[in-house]
Amino acid sequence: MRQCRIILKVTELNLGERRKRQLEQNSDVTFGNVRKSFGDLEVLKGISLEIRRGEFFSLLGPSGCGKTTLLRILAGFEFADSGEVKLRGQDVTQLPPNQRNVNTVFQNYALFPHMSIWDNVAFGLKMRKVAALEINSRVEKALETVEIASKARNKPAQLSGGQRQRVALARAIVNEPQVLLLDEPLSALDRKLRANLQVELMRLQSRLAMTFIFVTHDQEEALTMSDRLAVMNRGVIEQLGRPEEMYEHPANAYVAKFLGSSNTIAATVIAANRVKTAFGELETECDLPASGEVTLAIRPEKISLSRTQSSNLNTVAVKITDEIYSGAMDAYRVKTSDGTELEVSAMNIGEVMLDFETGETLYASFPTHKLILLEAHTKAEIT
Amino acid sequence: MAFLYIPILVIVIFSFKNSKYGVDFQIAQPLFKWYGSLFENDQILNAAENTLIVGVISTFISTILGSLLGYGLHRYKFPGSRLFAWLMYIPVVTPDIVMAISLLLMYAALRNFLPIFEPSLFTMIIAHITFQISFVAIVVRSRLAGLDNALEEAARDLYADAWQAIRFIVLPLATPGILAGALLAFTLSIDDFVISYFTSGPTSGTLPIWIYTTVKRGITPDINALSTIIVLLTMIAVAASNLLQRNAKD
Repeated sequence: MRQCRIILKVTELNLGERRKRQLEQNSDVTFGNVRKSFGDLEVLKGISLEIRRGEFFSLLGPSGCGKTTLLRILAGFEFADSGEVKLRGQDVTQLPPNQRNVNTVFQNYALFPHMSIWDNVAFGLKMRKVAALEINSRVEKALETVEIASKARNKPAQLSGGQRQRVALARAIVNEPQVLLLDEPLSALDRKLRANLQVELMRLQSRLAMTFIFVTHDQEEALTMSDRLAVMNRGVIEQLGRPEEMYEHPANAYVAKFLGSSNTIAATVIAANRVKTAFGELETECDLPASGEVTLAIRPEKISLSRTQSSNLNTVAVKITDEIYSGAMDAYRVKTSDGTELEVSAMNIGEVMLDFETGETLYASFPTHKLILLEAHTKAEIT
Repeated sequence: MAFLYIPILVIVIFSFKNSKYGVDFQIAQPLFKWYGSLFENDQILNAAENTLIVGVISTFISTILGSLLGYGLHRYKFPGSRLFAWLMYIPVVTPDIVMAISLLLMYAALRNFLPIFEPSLFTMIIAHITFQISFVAIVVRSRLAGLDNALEEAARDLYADAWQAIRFIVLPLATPGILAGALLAFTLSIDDFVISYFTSGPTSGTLPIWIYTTVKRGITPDINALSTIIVLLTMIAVAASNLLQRNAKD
């Protein structure tokens, strides 16, 4: 019996090992409980994260959340206080940056001002002692990939912001790194150029089938571009997942607020699928606790407004206090009878619905399946 | 401005005076006669040689040390690095006479064990390096402060080791600052009188020292001629130094 158990344990262990190895084969980057402090400030509080091969992964968060530090630890510019960093299964925690097969696109591009565009792009290959002929063909190809070949002889100062961005990209991808790190590379560009480069980056990534790790504080950018993203806050990952998953089902109030805007509603559970709020009872499909206080959320665009009360279910009378017109979207601030403020928005598709005026009384309805449960406090927790 | 430049102008004019003594003014015949006589005076040639030897060697060494100091203070933060950066300014603001006397005392103490510290060109070179280093370090550091730190990181990211990153990125970009620092150090060295006077030996007089000892016996036009040459050289060096720093900013 005892022998049996031991054998069982051994096979379990083997299975565990094998699975772990399999996972590592699919993952390009593994952070294992990475901690980092600057002085008294703990910037990373034990980050564990796996990034899969070939995915476009974003680290999203406000400034100071630790996303850039995490990226710099992966690049080798900072070293973790504890924990480990693996690149395709190889422990690189203590390796200097020049011995890691990753390349970075810097926020302000960091192009070498005293070198031509061509020399900038060739720098990494030269340092690796690649044969001159191969350098020529690879640099040319990289410059063509980012459509900047005509500027090869120019100095960085002669280029526009968008062009410098392309050069920075070429300088990194020419080395064919396992992972490309992008540190807010679009933040210095104007809105329109940024949108173009977003699309180009996504195309480039799928063409090269290279793992991209993209650091940004722009939630829209992260939602548009990523296969998966992690929302970070004060040195921890709040939630990790696919963009639509995170947007539709935020794990907590922080993520709900950070990814797009969101109305939060405090409520008390009164039945298996009913809650009581300050402005009336609502029915929901959320997995409610048996009793206690909960926080629900609903996206502004999920609430619909109308002049007539179409049904009694989840419909509340509201008064429009402000109207914010912003081209493609129309947003309203509304107030319920008890004074709760809500944000409601709708696409500008020329429907009658958009003709509401400030001061008008309307009916707002909350679709039962669009209410999100953010937090549930049991009674014990409250007292 | 007039107060600044009129004395210099007077020296230049008087270097073209015909008679050796007296205040009468007749244009020299030939025009550059006092300049010519400079090159026939062995004492002057010897002093000029000493000046150049001290200037070139001390500038060379202080540029290397000062650049390393400037880079170190720019790049690394260590306990006391701010105090260190502040201490760097001390030799710049210390009166020359204080530095001169302290060096003299130090050499006198060292001389007891090491005969090499007998007053000579060697002691003068050491003295010049002491005050030059700070100037070079300040100029180099201010140049480095204008560079993006990410450049060195970018080089490291692109597979350069620590030395290659300095060799191919930091050094070329810091060169205008280093050259400007070197020119400044050289100018300071050839102009210096107080510290040189206290640290030189009987055979190691420089041009400023020679002028001082000669002036005691009356100002002659050849001293004016020599002074004019020194002013001219200094002006060229300072202008070049400024030009380098300005170009670097673009």
